[in-house]
Amino acid sequence: MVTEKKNKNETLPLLEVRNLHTYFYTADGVVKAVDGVDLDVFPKKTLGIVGESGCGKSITTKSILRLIDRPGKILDGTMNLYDKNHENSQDITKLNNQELKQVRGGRISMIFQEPMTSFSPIHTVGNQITEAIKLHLKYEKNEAMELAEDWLIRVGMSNPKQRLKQYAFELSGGQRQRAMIAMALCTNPDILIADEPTTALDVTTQAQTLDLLNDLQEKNGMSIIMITHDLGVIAELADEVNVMYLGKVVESGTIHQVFKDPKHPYTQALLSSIPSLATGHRERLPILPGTIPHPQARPQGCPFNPRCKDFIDGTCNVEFPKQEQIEDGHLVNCHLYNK
Amino acid sequence: MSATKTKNENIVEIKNLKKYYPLTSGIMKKVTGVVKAVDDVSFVIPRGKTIGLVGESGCGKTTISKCILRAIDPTEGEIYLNNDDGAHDLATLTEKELRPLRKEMQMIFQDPFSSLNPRMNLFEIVSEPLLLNGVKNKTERQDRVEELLDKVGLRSEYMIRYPHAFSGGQRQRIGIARALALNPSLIVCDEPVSGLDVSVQAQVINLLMDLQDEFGLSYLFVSHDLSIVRQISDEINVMYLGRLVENGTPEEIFSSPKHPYTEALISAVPQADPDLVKNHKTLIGEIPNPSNPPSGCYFHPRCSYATDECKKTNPQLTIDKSGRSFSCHNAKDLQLTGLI
Repeated sequence: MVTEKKNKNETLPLLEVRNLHTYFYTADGVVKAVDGVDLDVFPKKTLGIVGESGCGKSITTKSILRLIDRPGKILDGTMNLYDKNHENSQDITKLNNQELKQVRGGRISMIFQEPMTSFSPIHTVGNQITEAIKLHLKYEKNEAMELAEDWLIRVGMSNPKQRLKQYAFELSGGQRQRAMIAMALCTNPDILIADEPTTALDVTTQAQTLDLLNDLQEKNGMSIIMITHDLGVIAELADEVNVMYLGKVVESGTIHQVFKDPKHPYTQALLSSIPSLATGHRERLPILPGTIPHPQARPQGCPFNPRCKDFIDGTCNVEFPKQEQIEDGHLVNCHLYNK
Repeated sequence: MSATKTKNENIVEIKNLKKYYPLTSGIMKKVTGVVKAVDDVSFVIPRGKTIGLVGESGCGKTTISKCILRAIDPTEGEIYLNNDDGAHDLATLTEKELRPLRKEMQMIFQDPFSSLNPRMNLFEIVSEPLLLNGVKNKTERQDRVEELLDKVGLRSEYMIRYPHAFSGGQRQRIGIARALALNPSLIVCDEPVSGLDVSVQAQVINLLMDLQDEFGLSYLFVSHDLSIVRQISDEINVMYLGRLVENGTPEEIFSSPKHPYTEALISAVPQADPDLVKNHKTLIGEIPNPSNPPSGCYFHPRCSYATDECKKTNPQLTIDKSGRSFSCHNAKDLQLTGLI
């Protein structure tokens, strides 16, 4: 009976985002940064979000933490965050500031691309990690320091005691990223949002960081939302993938469904434009023509239509395609598959 | 004699290049140590070929490129540029003597946002090298810029626009057009695509290869992205802490690496295929402080195959029977895995 209940909980999403719209009202017009995004984060799983810069992947996750400043605004949508037993839920869009504080850094934490700019340069690493622990876990200073040290050990930092007294600029890039992971995870969040966490790192340090995230996920059982434009990183870490283009999710499914059998022409183009093991010496890779359109001049209909190799005149440039299910869990928004 | 003299087949020959930075302390600037940013590196760039230079940040890749262009002065060693007039040792020439040679070597930078002057429009950016090299006639410059923009796939209407109006990929094309303006024979590409989206990366890489075929350019391609280096390079040099640890063709390096560091680098590259076994040979720790390098082989503290000998003596770069060069004491006994 107990196991049955547990299984049920693991197939139900922890976070369910529906129809999220985040627009920016700039002097030059409205930028529809996130335009109707649905996503599900399952317990102990990693959701990857991929897309080119400007596709709205960062804004989506910032919206989840309600970190959108003016002129941006979350217009519409629900973001239901369920508790462990999937009995109660809270809609993040409707939380007041007090409740929001509990979610930010408590149930949902975030790590950023540039660890240098996300640490305060005038506080020690120890002070910054313990700040979160004191706020969310209500620990005393000494206990908090012990927990912070424990976390630095867990993320594989050498000399943790000394590191706590150091400032961010005294650490190397990889160490800073480890310290940031420790800071994000010390409150035992249910969801960790990782926004391009390895983009600024060397391949070797990147591999170390990815292994660390994998390890910590196994031990702590948190869910990860991984944002990156590096398809290799997604293939290593993610269980599910959402492919975004111009504020919309155009294809979603398990990593195998999307990477092995991509359906959307955009996903196909992305995957074929990266060099792989099969790429020959000096072979020209097929390229995705053109660039991402200007945010205020989004194309009519399917946003990808001006760059699409399978463009159907009169259909693709008129209407945004309905979502079609290819197989269980594999969803795509493309007129090629609309019946 | 000189008319019949055939061009040297290598455009650049680097011999025992060293670049040391002194570490000073106190108001008297007493020298307390040296950082060996580049330590006794030799390699050649054959005409019309691409040489890849890979390694972690801080290994000296960029220092080598800057030495070749004499943006910085090397401490020791020779850098020969071979052109129609013979060989010129760039390391010893004066600024004045260098001036006519500078147009033969150009650079494409990593960050297309900070490498273009925001106050100059596209025409001014691309035509500046022409102006500096004596093309005084404006229509002549305009024609040349138009031709260059066409080559890199930008429309000539864009000439009056400023850099902020362009995307990252377009800016990188502008940088390429500027580098091509003086018909160089060598282009140093320092991480030319690492700031770009994957789809744009492919566009720029294809463009670089097309231009090479058309103009017979030689590239020094500096990057930390091994899959791109593998695709574009004819030969790859792997660097670690200022030293060259392995050299070979992409096939050799990737199918049978001879140095444990190369093996670790290859296994760290994430592949966009969920079926591939995710088994990193994760390197322990980070690149050591170059002002206080480890004894013996610089790589031994992070090497899983290290023996006592590695801690004591520094292996020299040696060439084996098959013509591969690498610096590892245990290379004979190791079976290293490349790409599966």
